[in-house]
Amino acid sequence: MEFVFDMGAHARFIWPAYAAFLAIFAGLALWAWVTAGRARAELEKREKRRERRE
Amino acid sequence: MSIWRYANPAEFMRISGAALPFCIWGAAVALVVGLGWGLFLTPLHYEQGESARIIYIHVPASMLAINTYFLMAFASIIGLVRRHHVSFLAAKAAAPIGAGMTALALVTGALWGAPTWGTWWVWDPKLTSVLIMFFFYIGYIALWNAIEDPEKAADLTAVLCLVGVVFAVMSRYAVEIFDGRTLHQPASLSLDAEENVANVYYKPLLVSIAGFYLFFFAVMLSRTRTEIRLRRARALALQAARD
Repeated sequence: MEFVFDMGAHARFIWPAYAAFLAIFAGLALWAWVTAGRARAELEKREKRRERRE
Repeated sequence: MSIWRYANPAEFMRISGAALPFCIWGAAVALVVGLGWGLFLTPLHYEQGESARIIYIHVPASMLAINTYFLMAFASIIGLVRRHHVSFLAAKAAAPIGAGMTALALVTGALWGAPTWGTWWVWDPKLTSVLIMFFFYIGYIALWNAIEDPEKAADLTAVLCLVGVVFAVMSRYAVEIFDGRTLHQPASLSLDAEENVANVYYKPLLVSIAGFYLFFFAVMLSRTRTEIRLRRARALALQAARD
């Protein structure tokens, strides 16, 4: 198995494809992580308020 | 034991919480191995040259784009028929991932098509169906955000999702339906081993596909959990307003 780094004339197509993959995957992962944190904090806040009322 | 017990939000939170770390770590390992193997360690393709290295992204992204839509349609039917809110929320959580995968499939398809076909885009039945499916994803997400009442939004988006299924079917089967009249080649993977790409490309492709699917489940489970929490928070806010 030979390690290939030089993509030749097709490098200008291959690297942008992998860059698009990185951008979309990083975006989705970040969005899931950030919204999960916000939702957890929001629910905790609401539950604490309810406990205080009871 | 009935499968419907998983539609209970508490049960879903318990099981998805346990499954999530396996999906996250499994996705990370499979993506690094599959894409690293495909990008740097596979030989030059005799026909496509170096551009064949794009298939390790394009094929899994295309599969996931179409299958996510089918999953959303299935969840929408369950939601409409059995009124399980987790189904609607799972479909809602899957939509942006499906849209992202469709965008990735379109972009990488264009980047692969330019050196291989000599064009970035053609109004081929398969490509056009995928583009329309992408618009359905965007429309579905926009409709969820446009309607304030979550019950109404769930019903209307489910109907919209079911209308768009025809384009997911077309995206999947256009090459077979328009036999010989599409520029796009048949599927790279099949249950029939003779129709698959050569083994040296096939193995990293399978690992990459596993990585994409694990990533999908990780994000979808996380987002569904988030939607369940937000729904609970909304219910508490409404209760507080009533008291």
